[in-house]
Amino acid sequence: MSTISTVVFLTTDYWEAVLRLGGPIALAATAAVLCARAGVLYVGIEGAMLASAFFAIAGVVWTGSIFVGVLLGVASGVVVNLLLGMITMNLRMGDVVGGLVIVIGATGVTGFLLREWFPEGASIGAERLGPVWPSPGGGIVEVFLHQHPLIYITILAVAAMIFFLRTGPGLVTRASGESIRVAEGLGVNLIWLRMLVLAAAGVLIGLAGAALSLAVIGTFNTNIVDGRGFIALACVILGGWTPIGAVIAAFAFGAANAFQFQADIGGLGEWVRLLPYVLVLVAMLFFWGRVEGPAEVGRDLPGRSPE
Amino acid sequence: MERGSAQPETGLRRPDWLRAREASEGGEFARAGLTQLSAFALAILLLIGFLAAIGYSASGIIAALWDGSVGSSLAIERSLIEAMPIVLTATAVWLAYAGGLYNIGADGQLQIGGLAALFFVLSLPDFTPGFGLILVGVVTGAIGGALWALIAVAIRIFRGASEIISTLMLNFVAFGLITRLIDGPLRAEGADFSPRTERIPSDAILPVLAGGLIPLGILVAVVASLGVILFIQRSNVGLRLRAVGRNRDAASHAGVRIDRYWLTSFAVSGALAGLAGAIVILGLRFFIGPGWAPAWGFLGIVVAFMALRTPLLIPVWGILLGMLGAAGPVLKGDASVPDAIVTVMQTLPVVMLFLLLALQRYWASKVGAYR
Repeated sequence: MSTISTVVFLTTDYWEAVLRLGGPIALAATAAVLCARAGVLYVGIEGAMLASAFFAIAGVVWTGSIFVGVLLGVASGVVVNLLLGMITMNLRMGDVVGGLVIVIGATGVTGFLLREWFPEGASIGAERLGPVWPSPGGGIVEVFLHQHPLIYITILAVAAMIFFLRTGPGLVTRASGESIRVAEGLGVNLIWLRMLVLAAAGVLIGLAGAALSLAVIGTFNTNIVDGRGFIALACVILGGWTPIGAVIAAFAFGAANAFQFQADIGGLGEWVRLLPYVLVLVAMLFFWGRVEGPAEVGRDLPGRSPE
Repeated sequence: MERGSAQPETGLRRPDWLRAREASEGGEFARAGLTQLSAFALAILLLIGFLAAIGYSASGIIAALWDGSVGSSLAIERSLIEAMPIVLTATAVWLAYAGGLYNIGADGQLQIGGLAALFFVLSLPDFTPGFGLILVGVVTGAIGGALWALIAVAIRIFRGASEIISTLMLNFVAFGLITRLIDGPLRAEGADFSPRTERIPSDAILPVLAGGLIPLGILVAVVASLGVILFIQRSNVGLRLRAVGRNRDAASHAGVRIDRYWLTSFAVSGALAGLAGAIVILGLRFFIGPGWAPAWGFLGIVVAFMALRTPLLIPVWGILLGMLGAAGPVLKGDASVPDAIVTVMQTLPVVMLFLLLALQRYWASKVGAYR
């Protein structure tokens, strides 16, 4: 076991798989962190990711252009998130119920549209989302500097978010997450604020969906997301509510996932697959309260929870 | 803060005026139920209209929905069987929410309950009578679900960490654990192609009553559901739990031990979901294989919040969603509509209901009436 795993960790294939599998989760985790800092518990993330994965593939199948696919994925991420904001806040379903309705609804709608538009199945074949610049060298350099652009957009998104949270509007956003009363005292319309945050998160989740369907899977089915959205939510906690931490946690999930594919020794892979979830629970049990999360996460705006 | 004080629970009891109000709630109940019914009808009609607009036959869809849900005694049995787990998980979600907690983990609790029921039924000696097998299955299933739920609520009580995330994670752990077990230690001898467990003995299978019309499981589910709901609505214990759900600080000041009420209610919530798993094993699947438990827990959330103002209607909405689920294959076969539309039909009503409620509030604010 030790020799096999050592060999696995040394291969460039393994690290390539870590980046490829971790990429969508990392993008989703940035979206989830942004929401969490604004006090939104982004339970609908799984549904938004599924919808954007579907429309990204649909765009590529329709036009043959990967770029159009990514664009369509982003657009559907934004639309689904605005819908999510409307049903959670305007219709007062609350983050949890509204989010789960989006999750179940997205499974139904994409499943229906798949049969309706692509009776033969939606697959993009060899046209994967890949690197857009020439390889800068071989070996490990190739692995880290020659991935599809969305991987590097993740890094940009993290940097942008760290900067944003320190600006004035970022402070108001954090206030929405830390103390609804203070944020309201600032005279901010919190519904509009959270709607804007959801729209921005929609862009990121759209990229995540596109990265998943166009760079990782390549064929659409309604199980394509397979809990990755919920994993991204867990990454927010594991990463101590910071964008960097969440992205690192996401790539750790990617590493576990890649290990499962590359080193399935006597069914070990399936156990490794369980490990991250158990880890989240252990982290909640031992570290919760030491790294304080935004106080208002999961607490609906006043009068906006189901009653 | 959340531990509550050590005062004796002399505080919250149902005062006479509350008892009187409870007795006269009929009108309110009927109005809320009617709103739910209109939301359901509107949502289904809207979807049928949409399907008709894109070229499907509306009459074909309605006929398929009818045939698949109530058109024959077999269809009725399928509908009620589909409804069993939904009624129970919905009650589980409602009970947790009564105490102010979200149980998003009914799916995991259901799976662990089913696993426990299967395991203990299989490990009983051959001469055990059918009644004994069923009793053991149901009890161990409920205990399994309760223990699984206790992990989440314990983390919430002792660390304050969100039960929403932990129950979600526990769903994945349960799913992965079972996937692993049915491909390893629990894999049946003859299962060469697809991993699955041994079948439960035929004596342990829940009977179908009334000449193949009403599965015993649905009776158990409805009785358990109504029993729990009536108890929470009509007892002092239930009042205290709802006080915890409404306003934790106030409940704490009134001497209610919040941690106890959370532990107990969440454990019972898990037990209900575990019971659902046991009934699914004993009355529907008979063994565990891949895909044996679709997202019934999530549908339970839909039903629980559909019937939030009229919890006694949870069995009704559970059965209606079960009917839609049973009609899915017929819809696909007879009307050639992709059966994924059933999932949309099961979710849209609750959105429509909250839309109607929002419109009612808007209307009330327009005419200046205070509710």
